[in-house]
Amino acid sequence: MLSILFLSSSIYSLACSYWPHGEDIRFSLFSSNLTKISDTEPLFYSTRYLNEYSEEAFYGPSENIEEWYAYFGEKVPKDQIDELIYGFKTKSSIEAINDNQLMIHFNSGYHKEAAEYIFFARSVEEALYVDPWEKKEMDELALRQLMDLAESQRAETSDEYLKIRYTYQLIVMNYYLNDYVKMERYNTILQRMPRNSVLKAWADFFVAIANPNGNQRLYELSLVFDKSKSKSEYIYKVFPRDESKLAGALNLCQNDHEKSVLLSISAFKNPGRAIDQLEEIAKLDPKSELLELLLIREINKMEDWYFTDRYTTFGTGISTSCWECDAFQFIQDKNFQSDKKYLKKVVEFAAKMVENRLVENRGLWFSSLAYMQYMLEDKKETEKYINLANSHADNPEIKAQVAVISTLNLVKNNSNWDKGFQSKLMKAMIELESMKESIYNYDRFHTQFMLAVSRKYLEEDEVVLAALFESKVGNEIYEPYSSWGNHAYQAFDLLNENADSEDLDELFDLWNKSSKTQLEEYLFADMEPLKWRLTDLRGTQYLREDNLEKALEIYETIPDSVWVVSNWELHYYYNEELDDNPFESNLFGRDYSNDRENAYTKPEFVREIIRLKKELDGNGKNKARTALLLGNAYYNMTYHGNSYYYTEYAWSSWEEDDFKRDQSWYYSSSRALKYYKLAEELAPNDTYAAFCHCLQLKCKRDGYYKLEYWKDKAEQDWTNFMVKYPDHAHKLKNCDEFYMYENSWQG
Amino acid sequence: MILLTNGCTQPDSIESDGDKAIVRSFYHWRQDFQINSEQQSFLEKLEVEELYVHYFDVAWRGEEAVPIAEVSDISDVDMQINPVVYITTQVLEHSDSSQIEHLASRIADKIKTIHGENELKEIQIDCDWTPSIKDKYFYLLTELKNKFSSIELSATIRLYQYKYPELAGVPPVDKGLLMYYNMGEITSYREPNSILNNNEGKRYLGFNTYPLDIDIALPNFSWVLLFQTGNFQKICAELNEEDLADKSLFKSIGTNLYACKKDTVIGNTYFRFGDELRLEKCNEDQLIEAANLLRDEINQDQTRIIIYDLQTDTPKDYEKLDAVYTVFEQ
Repeated sequence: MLSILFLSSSIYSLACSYWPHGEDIRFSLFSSNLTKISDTEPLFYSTRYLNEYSEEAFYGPSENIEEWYAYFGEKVPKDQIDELIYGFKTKSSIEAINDNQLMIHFNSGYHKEAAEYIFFARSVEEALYVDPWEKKEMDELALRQLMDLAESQRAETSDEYLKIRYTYQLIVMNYYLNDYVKMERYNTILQRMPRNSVLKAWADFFVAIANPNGNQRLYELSLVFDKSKSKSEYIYKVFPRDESKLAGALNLCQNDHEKSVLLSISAFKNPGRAIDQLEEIAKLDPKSELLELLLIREINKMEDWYFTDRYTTFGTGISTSCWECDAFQFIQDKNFQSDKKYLKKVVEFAAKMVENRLVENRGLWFSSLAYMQYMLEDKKETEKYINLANSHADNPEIKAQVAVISTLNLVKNNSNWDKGFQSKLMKAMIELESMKESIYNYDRFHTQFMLAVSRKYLEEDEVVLAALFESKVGNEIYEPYSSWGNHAYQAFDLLNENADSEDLDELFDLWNKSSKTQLEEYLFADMEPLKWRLTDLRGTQYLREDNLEKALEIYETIPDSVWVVSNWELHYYYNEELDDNPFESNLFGRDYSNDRENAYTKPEFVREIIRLKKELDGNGKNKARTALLLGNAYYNMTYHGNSYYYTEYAWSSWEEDDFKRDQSWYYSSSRALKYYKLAEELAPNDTYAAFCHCLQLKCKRDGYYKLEYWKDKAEQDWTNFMVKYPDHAHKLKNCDEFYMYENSWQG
Repeated sequence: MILLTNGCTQPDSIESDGDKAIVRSFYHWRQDFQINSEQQSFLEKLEVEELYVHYFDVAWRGEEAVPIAEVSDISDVDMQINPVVYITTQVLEHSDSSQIEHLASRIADKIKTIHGENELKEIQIDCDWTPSIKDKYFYLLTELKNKFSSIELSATIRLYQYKYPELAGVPPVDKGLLMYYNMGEITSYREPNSILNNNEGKRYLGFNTYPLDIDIALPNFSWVLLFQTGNFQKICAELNEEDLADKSLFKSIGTNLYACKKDTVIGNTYFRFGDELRLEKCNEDQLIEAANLLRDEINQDQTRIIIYDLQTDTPKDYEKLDAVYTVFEQ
C-alpha cells in the first residue's frame, strides 16, 4: 500500500483501513430520475444494496402528499402538508406546529373534518409506536378505542376522501391486531369505493404481507408495486432475485402486464447484466414505465463499469511495476471489451424499441441511445439521437439530460481550443447551470462533468486543459487529485504528475494572456492564490529537466518570503523541508540529521550548482572536490538524498510514484553518478579517488532498483571496488574514517 | 513451570504463574439466541463457563440514540451470561453530557430487562473510542458503573489502545478486554490476513504496562474479501470457503486466494472475470501462536479467554479451540 509522506500533496490522508470504493468513486453522468415515476429512488442503481441518496423533498411519500395537496384545492404548499402529516415528532413544540401553514389553515376554520382525521391518524401512529428503549409494545387498548372512533367517523362523514382514509386506518389497525378477517372485510369495502386513492394500494399491501401463501404474497405485492412505489423498498427486500423462484407467483398473473411487473421487481435486484430480463419484460409490456427505470439502471451500471475505474480510481494501492500489473491490465482490457460488446447489445435493444414505436416516452429512449452512443464514441449516432431526443423531450429533466450529452459530445469531438469552441462550451456550461434544478444530484453531477472533461484532455495529453478543468472538480466523489482545501490545488497535483516544462510554460502563457476568453477567465478564476506555488512547480520542472539557468530565472521571480514563511493553506513547506545541507556527502544513503545553518532555498541551491559547474569548467584548483560537491547535490535532490524536496513534493517509503513524467534519474541517481565518476578521475590521490568511487556504489545500487538480481550486481560492484582500491575498500565499509576520506582532497 | 534462567535473575512474579486461573468463555453475537444441542454439548465438552452475549447495539438514528440488533429471549440458558453492549462512535459524537446520563440509564434499564431474573456478574461495553469522544465515552462508563456498583464492568480495548494507554486513555472500568483480532489492513491487497496477523499483533504486545486487569478475546471466524484489479471492494457475506471450492466459478491462485473465472452474480454482488477473493480465517497454528504471545500479557490471577464467536458450525473446531485454551492454562 502506498505510504506517502503527505507534505504538500493533496492526496487524501486516508483513514485507517479506508480505501475509496463503491459510491465514493462511482462515476455517472446519466440522471437516474428521468422517468415520471415518483417514490422510486431506492431502486436507482447503486453499488450498495439499495440506493441511499435521496433528493426526495418530503418526509413522507409524494403520492400521498399529492393527494392531500389536491384535496386542499392546491392552496396549502406541499411541504407544509408533508410537515404536519409526517414531519413533526411527538416532542415537537406547539409553537412550531401552530406556525405550520396547514395548521393555520385548520385554525382558520377550514377543512375541520380533515384536521380531525389527520390528528386521528397521528394518534394511530402513536398507539402503534414501539419504544425501542422501553420495549413498549403497541398500545392495544388505545388501538381498540381508535378503531371504534374510526368506525364512527367513517360512518358519519359524507366526505368520501376521508371515508377512504378512515377505512384504511381500520385496515392498518386490524393488521397490527392480527385480525386478518376484519382487515380483509374493510379492504373489500375500500376497494369498492369509487374514488381512486393511493391508499387502496397501501391497503392491499397490508393484506398481501398478511398472506401466508408465499406465491400469492409475492403476486399480491407485485400488484401493489405496480400501483404504488412508496412500498418499493419493502417489496424489493422480500422479493427473490432468482427468477426461478418466481414461477409460482408468475402462474398467478392474469395478464402480460402483471407478469412484466413481477419480472421487473426481480430485475431491479440484479447487480449484473440484465438485458435478458429487459427483453423479456419488453416482450410482455413494451410500454411499461418500469422498463424505462430499468433501462436507466442498466445505463448507470454500464457507466460504472466503463468509467469509474478509468476516471476516479485510486489505483491498486500497489506499484505499477508490480508483478500482477500485466494481469490487471489484461483483466481490465478483457472486461472493457466485454462491456463494450454488452453496451452495443443494449443499444441494439433500445434502438429496436424506438424504431418499432413500442415505447411512449420517446424522449427518454432517444436520450438513452444518445448517451450510449456517446459512450461508444460514435459521434454521428450520438448527434442523430441528440436531435431526436431534443425533438421528443417533453420534460425539463430530459431536456437537461440532452443538454448534458450535447455538451459532452461537443467536448469529446473537438480538438481545437479556439475562441469558437470556447464560446460554445461556455454557453453550454451556463445552460447546464441554468438547468441545475432538473439535473439529478447536481453538485455530484457538476463534479463528475468537470472530471470527465479533465480526463478527456488528460487522455489526449492536453495537460494544461486537464489541470484547469481538474481545478473545478468538487469533493462530491473521491478521485486521485481530490483536495479538501482549495480545489485549484488539484490542478497543481495533476500538473506535478503529468506536466513537462513546455506544458507549464503553456499554462503561464495562457495565464498571463491579456485578453482571455470568458471560459479562460472562469478556469483561472481560483488559481491566483496558487501563483507562487505553481511558479515554483514550473521552476522545479526545469530543475528536474536539468535546465538550471531557466529554473533559476523562474525561482528568482518568486518573493523570498515564500521560501521562509510556512503557510499550510498555500502549501509553503519549504522552510521545514529544506533544512539540510544538500552538498554534504552521504556514503550510505539518506541522512536525516538536520543542518539548518547550511540549508539552501531553492534559488540559492540552483545558483550554487551553477557556480560549481562554472568552477568545474574553469581553470581553478580542487576540481575533484567541486565535482564531488556537484555529485552530492545531484544525489541529495533525489529520492535517496537528504533533500528530495528540491525536486518532488511528496516522498513514499514503499513504492515509487506512478507519474507520467520521467522520474528515472530521481530513482536511479544517474546524474550524481556522472559527477562522482568525474571526481574520481580528477582526484589528487588514491584516498580521495577511493572515496569518490565508494560514493558511486550507492548510485549504482539505486540504479538497479528495477532489477530482480540487484543484490548480485551490488556485490559485484563491491568486489570490483576491493580489487581497484584494496587499501581503502575495507575502511570505507563503515564511517570510522569518513572525515579523513572526505577531506583527503586537500592532500 | 520449569524455567531455564540461563544465569539471569528470575523475576519474582513468575513463581505465581501456576496459580493463574483461566476461565474458558465464548462470545455469542447473533440476534437469534438459540443454542442447539450440538452447540450445548460442544460448550460443555470444552468446559466453557461463561457466555458473553451481545445484547444490543446503540446507534444514532435521526436525532437520537436507539438500541438496534437486540438479542432474542435468553431465558433458557443454563450458563453464566454476561451482557455485551456495542456503542457506535456516532452516538457519542452526537451526545452531550446530559444526554449521556440519560443514555446510561436507558442502557442499564434495557440490560436489566433483557437479563431478567438471571444473575448479573459482569457487563461489558464495546466501543472503538477515539480521542475526540474519549471523555464522553468514559463519562458514560462512569455513569454505568454508578448504576451497577456491585457488578463488574469491563470495556473492550483495541490493540493500539492497549499499547498506548497514555495516549488513548484508560477507561474507568473494573477490567479491560483485549481484542486480539481485526488487526490488519482489511483493504490492503498485500495484507495476508486482516483478522489475525501475529506479526502485526506482536507490535502491540510485550509492554506489560496496561493499568487494568485484562481478559483476552481471540477470533474464530472467517470471511471472504473481494478485490478488483487490486482494489478492495467489499466483504462478501454471501460467500464462504465452500462456495470458493466451486471450480466452475473460482480458481485457486494461492494460499486462501481465489480468482473469479467468469462474470457471475451471487447474492447481491456482481463478480467480474479476474476478481480476486481472499479467504481470511483463523487456523490452529496462528491461534496457538497468538495464545503463546498473549499468555505473557497476563498479570492477574484469573483471566477470561473469550473466543469470538459461537456460530452454528463452531463445534467442528473443538480440537483447535481446546488446544488454544490449553496454551493459556499451561
